Amino acid sequence: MSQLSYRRALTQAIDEEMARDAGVFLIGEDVADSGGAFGLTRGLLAKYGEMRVRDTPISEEAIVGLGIGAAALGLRPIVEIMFMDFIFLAMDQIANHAAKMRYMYGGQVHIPLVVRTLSGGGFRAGMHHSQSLESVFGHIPGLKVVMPSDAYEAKGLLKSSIRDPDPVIFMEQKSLLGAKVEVPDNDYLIPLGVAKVRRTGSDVTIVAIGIMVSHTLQAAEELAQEGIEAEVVDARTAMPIDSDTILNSVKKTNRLVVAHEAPAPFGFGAEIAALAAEKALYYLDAPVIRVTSKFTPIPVGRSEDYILPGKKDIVEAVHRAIKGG
Amino acid sequence: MSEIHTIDEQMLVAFYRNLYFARRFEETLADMFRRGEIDGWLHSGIGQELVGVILGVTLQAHDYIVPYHRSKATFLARGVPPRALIAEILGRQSGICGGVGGEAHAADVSHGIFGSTGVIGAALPLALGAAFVQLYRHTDGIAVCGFGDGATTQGSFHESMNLAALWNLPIVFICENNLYSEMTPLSKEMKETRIAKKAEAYGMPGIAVDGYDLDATYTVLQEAIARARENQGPSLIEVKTYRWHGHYEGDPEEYRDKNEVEAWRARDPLPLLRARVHDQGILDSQQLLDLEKNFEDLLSEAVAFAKASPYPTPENLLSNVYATNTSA
Repeated sequence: MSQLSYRRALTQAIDEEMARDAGVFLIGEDVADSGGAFGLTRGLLAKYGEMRVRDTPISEEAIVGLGIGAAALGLRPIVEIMFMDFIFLAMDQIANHAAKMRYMYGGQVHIPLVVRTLSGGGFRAGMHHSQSLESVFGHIPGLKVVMPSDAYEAKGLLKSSIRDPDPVIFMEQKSLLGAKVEVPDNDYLIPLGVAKVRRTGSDVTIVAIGIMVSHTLQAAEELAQEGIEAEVVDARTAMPIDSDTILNSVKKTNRLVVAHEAPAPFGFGAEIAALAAEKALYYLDAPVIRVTSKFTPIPVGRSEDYILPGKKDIVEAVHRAIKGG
Repeated sequence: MSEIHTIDEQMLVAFYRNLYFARRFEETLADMFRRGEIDGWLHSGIGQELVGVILGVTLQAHDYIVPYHRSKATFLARGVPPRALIAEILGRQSGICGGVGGEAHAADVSHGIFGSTGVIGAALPLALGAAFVQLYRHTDGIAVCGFGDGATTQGSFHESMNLAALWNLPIVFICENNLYSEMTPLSKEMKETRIAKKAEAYGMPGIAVDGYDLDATYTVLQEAIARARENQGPSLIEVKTYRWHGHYEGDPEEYRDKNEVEAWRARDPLPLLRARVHDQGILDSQQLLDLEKNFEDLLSEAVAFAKASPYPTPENLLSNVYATNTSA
């Protein structure tokens, strides 16, 4: 056990899985010689060689398609899309092929593909380097969407994603890259589709995902000073959704706030609100409140701070929930 | 192309058998479609069967082929049971994809056929993956990717050609140029209509060949396949060919001249090949008739089997979304 950054936890996860399984390979722009735009894949080329760690041209559609083909025929590709905003260039391959291929071929193949990509704000880099697109992918049958909330989660969830037989969109939270927590040096897995109660409380349930988990945990400490005990559920995966863990918490606290960095319409929060309305309506003492970014593109520079949600927004949302909306 | 490769007697017969059967298979499907026995659409490959036949007969078992989207000939020549292919096209449970994929999305990985897609141009990146698997595993297998002229205006074509050449992937790209992208002639789709020429920009050989000339097409394909197999890199082959039916069955075909269709039909490679097999004394008239009669019986049996097969059950239709037990 040692203090490890989110960045190094990701590297360690890839390293361990490449050592474990000769079918795992990594491709992407700048992943090999330069070790990744953010150093996430540093050292892997030297260790595993150029067949398994490969730089690619800037051709998102081709490299994702290559990954799908290789996955369908027995390898375990990790394809890096440098920023999630660029994933739209590979959308046909992901949405029409990775997601549907098992179904359309009647179960002849499975697609153990991981598309790793940096998502979210934090670098103040504007609308083409900052989005969180989990709901775009969660909407498509056949895909899984993973959003690790700290370094411990990042390692365990990435290792599970690489071993998973289905295509996974793995959203690395760029504002967490340098954040350190205790991470075991050994092999451990965190199952996909199992949420985690990060803090217990009796007054309100806050379901958070990705970067919003750390904002929420800080908000919960602040709320505790006022005597409000929030239960914080880290959803971990936007798809599959761990309905049981979320509903059990809502039934206990009778209030629900959902926090994510993407905008509200058609988002993860809308899905969780619908889940509560369908399965736990009579347990709710207040309307469900969503904490999200504003419905705009993400501007460059410090203006980002105005658009994206933070700790303050969560505290305010909980106050509203406690007051009954 | 260097010298024309000689096709031995055994292979000539194999080509004739498969070409004849593919033609009758396509004709049977077209008739069934006209009678309303096929749901959705049917994209006939009549007139373009020869390439798929050559590939199906000559590729090795461990090669992968991403078939040209009209090419039922590829499936049949590769050994996919006709009854299971018809059942798939009819959306029946006994089809090669359980009746869920249908005509445009059919694959049979056990016969090395993979990557079929309803999206024009999407096959090329998928085929890169099949070629990469061969490279990664150090096999002498290759990947072959078929597509039409319309796919060459997609970004995926450019990306895939570049990456295949850059990584020296063991792949042969085969563009079946039938002169029309759906209902639009090539000249309205691209300024440079000599598709094979485009290969030069990516650093690979590009060769155009008359797809109704068996010997020339066979030779060009064998050279490109050998090149890929010997790790000398990818090739782009432009096969000039023609579809006799519309883009889809029922297409009024107002965009092309009937004389053009007739001119291609007059060059049909099927009777030429039949005469050659006969005149070289490989099969006599009775043997040819027997062979053709056997295929009629096989087709009738396959159609009857497919029509009698059940449609997928609700349970079938909810399966295979994920490999793991996953629900929303």
